[in-house]
Amino acid sequence: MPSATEGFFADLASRPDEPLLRAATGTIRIDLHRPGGTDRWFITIERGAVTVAKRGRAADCRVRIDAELFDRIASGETNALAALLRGQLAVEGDLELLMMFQRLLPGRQASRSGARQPAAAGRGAKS
Amino acid sequence: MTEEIRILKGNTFVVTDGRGDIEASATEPDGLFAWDTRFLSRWVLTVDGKRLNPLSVDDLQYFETRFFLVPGTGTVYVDAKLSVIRDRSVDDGFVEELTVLNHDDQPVEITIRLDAGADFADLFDVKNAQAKKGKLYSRVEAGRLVYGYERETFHRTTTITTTAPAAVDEAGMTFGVRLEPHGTWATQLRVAPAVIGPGGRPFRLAHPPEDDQPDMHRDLQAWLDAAPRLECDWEPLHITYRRSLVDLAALRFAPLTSGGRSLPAAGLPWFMTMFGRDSIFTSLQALPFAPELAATTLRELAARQGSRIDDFRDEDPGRILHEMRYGESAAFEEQPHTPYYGNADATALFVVLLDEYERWTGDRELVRDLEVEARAALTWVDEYADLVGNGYVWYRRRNEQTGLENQCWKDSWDSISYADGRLPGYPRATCELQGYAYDAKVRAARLARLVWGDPGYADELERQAADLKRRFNRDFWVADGHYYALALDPEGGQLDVLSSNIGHLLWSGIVDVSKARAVARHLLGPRLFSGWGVRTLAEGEQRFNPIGYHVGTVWPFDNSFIAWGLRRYGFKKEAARIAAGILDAAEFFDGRLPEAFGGYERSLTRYPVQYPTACSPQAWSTGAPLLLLRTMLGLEPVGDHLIVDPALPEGIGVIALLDIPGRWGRVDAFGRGRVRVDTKPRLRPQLGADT
Repeated sequence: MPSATEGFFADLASRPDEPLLRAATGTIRIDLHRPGGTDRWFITIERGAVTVAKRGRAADCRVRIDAELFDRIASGETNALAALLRGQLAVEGDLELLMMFQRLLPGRQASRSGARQPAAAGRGAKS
Repeated sequence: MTEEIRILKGNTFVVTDGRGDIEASATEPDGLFAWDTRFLSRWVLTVDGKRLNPLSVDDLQYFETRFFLVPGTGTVYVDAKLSVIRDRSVDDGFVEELTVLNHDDQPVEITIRLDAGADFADLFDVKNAQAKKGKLYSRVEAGRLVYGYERETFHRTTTITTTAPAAVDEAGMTFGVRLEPHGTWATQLRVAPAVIGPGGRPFRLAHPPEDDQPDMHRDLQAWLDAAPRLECDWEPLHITYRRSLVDLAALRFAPLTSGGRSLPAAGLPWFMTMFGRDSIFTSLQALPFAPELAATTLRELAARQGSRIDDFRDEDPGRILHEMRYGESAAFEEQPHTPYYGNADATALFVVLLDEYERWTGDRELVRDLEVEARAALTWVDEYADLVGNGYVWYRRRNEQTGLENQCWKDSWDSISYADGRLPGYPRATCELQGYAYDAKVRAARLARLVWGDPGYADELERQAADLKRRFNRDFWVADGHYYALALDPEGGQLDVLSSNIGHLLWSGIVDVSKARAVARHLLGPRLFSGWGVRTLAEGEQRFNPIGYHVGTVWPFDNSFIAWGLRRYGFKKEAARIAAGILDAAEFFDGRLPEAFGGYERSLTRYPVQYPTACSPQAWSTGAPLLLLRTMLGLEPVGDHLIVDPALPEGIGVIALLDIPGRWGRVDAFGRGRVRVDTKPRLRPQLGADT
């Protein structure tokens, strides 16, 4: 079964133009650190058109993050801005680009169906 | 010694006592705060072990204060042979120029000591007196004093440096000083907060300034010079106007993505951050004076518009944020503020501001740029806010632990009630939310035709707006009281209390013309109008309390929009009467209107009674006199012209507002006070006294 991270990037790659990012242009490189290695993703945004690649060259914004944490971000369990404030993301370069990109990440939901129910009790799992 | 001194810049602020010292308690917001964190909680100056005695405090600018002090506390003996000056200005942290003067013709040897400390309290901990979960440390590094706080990867530091040599220990720094006859000793102390990221490297949460040493005096002067010039016979208005402009400058906040441009933060001390509702209302109030605030507010709120469903943050696609926070409780997701979206009004108001901004400035480019966001906002109003499915805007929090119960501007728990005091179930649909939705649709239809080139969408929006107005005037009208209900309950029943919310309905234009006079009569009637302003809840209602936060106090911001609403329906005299009351009140607060003041009858107290924990300065109170100037002068952009149709209270004499910026370039507006507001001669001239 693919990880939340792989699922997120696969979904991102298959999306049509993303109107939320129509004002953004640039490349974000995300280095996911896991025991034994680093997975690298390049997300290139060109006025709303998003492409995802495992290889690339220069990036406008470089992010280093623990792979396990990114998995939880990609599944909506935790929030990228909160992780940034917690000091779990090392960011170099264009932070504004990252701010735009993080809007494409999923939110935390009580149920994945999107049903508009109250948040479940007992949340608050912390890293 | 209890007098509070506050200086601020953006989201950094310092609260001290009258001698410049900080002795923070767990529950008082004293200290140096930045990014919702207290970076300095102790800062006490002594000379030879004795505290100092303040002779005077000069609030030079919003960002700087000068304390004149002498050694020895108490009234018995003051050694006047030494004086101490603390010149403090806020930047990312603060800089203090400490100067000691020897007035004697003998040399003197003294020990100067600064006790320091940092508790790194989250602003929400200060509000709720929470204990810290991480580890505090302090250390001395190469003559610098460093305080830090670590909780897992969360790391914040405060670094204190001095230019004069000092013996530094973990609790402060000591200076052994010999002063020659009539000699002077000085040092510069710097307190620098930092957010530490991975690898121990500090990172900026704000856009870096263009210049390392921005000239804040020049910046303030440029801000004041860009605003229209006021000429007026009634002196207090000058003071209030200037105070408003300066406070608005102080509250400017440049969030990370704004490229250095500013929007108004909501207020000191609890709300020094971006709030959707507050930033929008303040930008609306300030449009004739500082239209660039609206542009930044629109851009920044658009960049953070909801994009997903997040139950913890009450986020939906298209929703405009409620509140952004940067402290520990937000970082660890104990609070949902990264950002939190739980409001039901800012999304429609975002569209309202976009249209009003275009009317004033003619900036169609921004309207074009934000078409996607404006449409998403309107979709949110129709699809996500209609929780009952009957065509109204409702709210019910999905985050039941830390979300907001009431998602309208009256957001305290008891603000929305039935006449008998009972609280309704959820969801709730307050009346002004329907007004904002109506106004947003009508205004967006104009933008769709004018800028977006989509007349079909415009027709559809107008059809929806007309339908909403028709249903609203049927379902919310309290027939036997001749006013609109505060809200509908989940079953569609009316919350039939009389509240100030009906004034916002006039502003939005959702009120049937046939019902407008009854609404105006209530707003200026004895149950709602205190003589100073319109109370949030009418006297006589079960939950009425003249010092209840949203159930009886008078809110200057609320009144400024009510005055605008009265003008919209042609009630010039009534609008002038509200302007007179609020501007009279402003004079009692030296031109700085607090968030709220007591709803006591004016004839009873003779002065406006300050609400105990009101924020000040607060952005939308700061904006209230500006909007009242607009309503008194009857300023209205029509096409490429500015219409001026003054209706001023008599005591105000002549007003000239010169160089009003807009799509017309710069124009002047003149008015003469002709509206009688029951003024009788008093010791000091007031506009709207009725006794």
